[in-house]
Amino acid sequence: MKPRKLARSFLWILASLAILMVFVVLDWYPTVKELGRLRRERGDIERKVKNYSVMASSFVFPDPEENSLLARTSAELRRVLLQVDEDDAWPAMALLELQAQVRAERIANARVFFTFQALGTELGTAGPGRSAALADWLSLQVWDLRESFSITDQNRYPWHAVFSGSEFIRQQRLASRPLVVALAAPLPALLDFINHISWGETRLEIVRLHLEPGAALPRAWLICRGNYLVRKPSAWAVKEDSGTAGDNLLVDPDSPLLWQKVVPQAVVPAMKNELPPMRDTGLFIRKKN
Amino acid sequence: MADKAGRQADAPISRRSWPVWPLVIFVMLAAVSLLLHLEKASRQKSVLAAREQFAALVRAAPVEEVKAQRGRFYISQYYVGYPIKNSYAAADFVRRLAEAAAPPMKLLKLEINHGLQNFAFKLTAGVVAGGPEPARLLFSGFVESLRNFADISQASFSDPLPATALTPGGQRAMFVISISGQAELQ
Repeated sequence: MKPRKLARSFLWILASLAILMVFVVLDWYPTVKELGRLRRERGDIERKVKNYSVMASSFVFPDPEENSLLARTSAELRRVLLQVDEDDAWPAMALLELQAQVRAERIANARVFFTFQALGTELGTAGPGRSAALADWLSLQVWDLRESFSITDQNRYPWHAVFSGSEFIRQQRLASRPLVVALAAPLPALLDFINHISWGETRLEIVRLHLEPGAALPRAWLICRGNYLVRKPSAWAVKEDSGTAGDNLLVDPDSPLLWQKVVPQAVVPAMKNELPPMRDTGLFIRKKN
Repeated sequence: MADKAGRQADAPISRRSWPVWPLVIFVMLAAVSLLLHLEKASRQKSVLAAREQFAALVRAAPVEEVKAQRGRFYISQYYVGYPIKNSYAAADFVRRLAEAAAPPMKLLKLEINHGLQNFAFKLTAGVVAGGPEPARLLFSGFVESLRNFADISQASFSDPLPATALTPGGQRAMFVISISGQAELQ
């Protein structure tokens, strides 16, 4: 009789413990865990509220003048970007600009090409066929040129941060494509050409410059990138998700500059400056005007 | 004895044969659960209230939005000025290098790779000298003048190496030096 009673009591204890375990495992433990998470979350939010209040109290909010300046940012960007109907219009415009510049700098031998495979267009004041030496030299640079073209592909577009969120990008396509200019000229003329290459409407950005100033007639090739807006579908359209692949422009969100009002006078626009006259080192032929 | 056993077997099963205490324990456990859930609901409410307070604060004082607008303004300005600044920096850098490489030194090759805020350069200069030591002396002036370039943030120099065989008569050869580094866009 006694062992039976003992066994029954033991069973009752086991059953009670089992019920307790069910409560602990299925309900109490997850709830206590959730309570801890909620406590931490509330603490975090309270801290954020406190920090934000302190930050907002020392933050300079924009006045109407600054608001209008900030609102003009997008229009200013749109103004500087060349707008074309279709892709083919851009090389034509770039070529016209470069032709004018080559004439202005009186550069005898120059060549422009837009794709790696093409022979390019001869520019320069020397007339057709005179730039054979330049073409020969370029044929030796073939590997460098091929590699340089790959730097400028749309997968490594560096200006995403500038154009993201711009209204006009939704209406038109942003395109970016490379071109190569190769030229041989006395060094001062060559340097003036390099300096002036970005002054036109196409706003060419130099990506890579290769120069051999020690040659009998200094020679160089430049890979440039041009950005433009195109209305029709473009083979050179910038891919939206390519920003992470290349160099990118970042703004430090903690920069004290962002806490202060933007003062238009403090933003000095880049000026078109001529190079100082070159000191004659005896090595280079002076440009004749 | 047999009579006692018979009476026990005939007796109806009393309620006390099911003890009350398991029920009491169950009710206590359920009560603890209930309290925990009430506390959880209360904390969820307070988290929601805190979130709402933060959202209201952000709406009232949109600091991050204004910071983003200002950031966009500055990078747009940078973009607008970049091509001109970039091409001037390259041309002026070459001009200063060419001036620094005074005869008998010769600037043989230069490559510039532009970034958004700086550019990497690699140049080769050559000089005709009677041996590595005289060549090193001739190069030292050039290297020293590069140290005065305010825009160069880092540079490394190779030792002069003979690029051509010694000339038959004068025991002189062309020595070259390679310099690579980085310069800031100013």
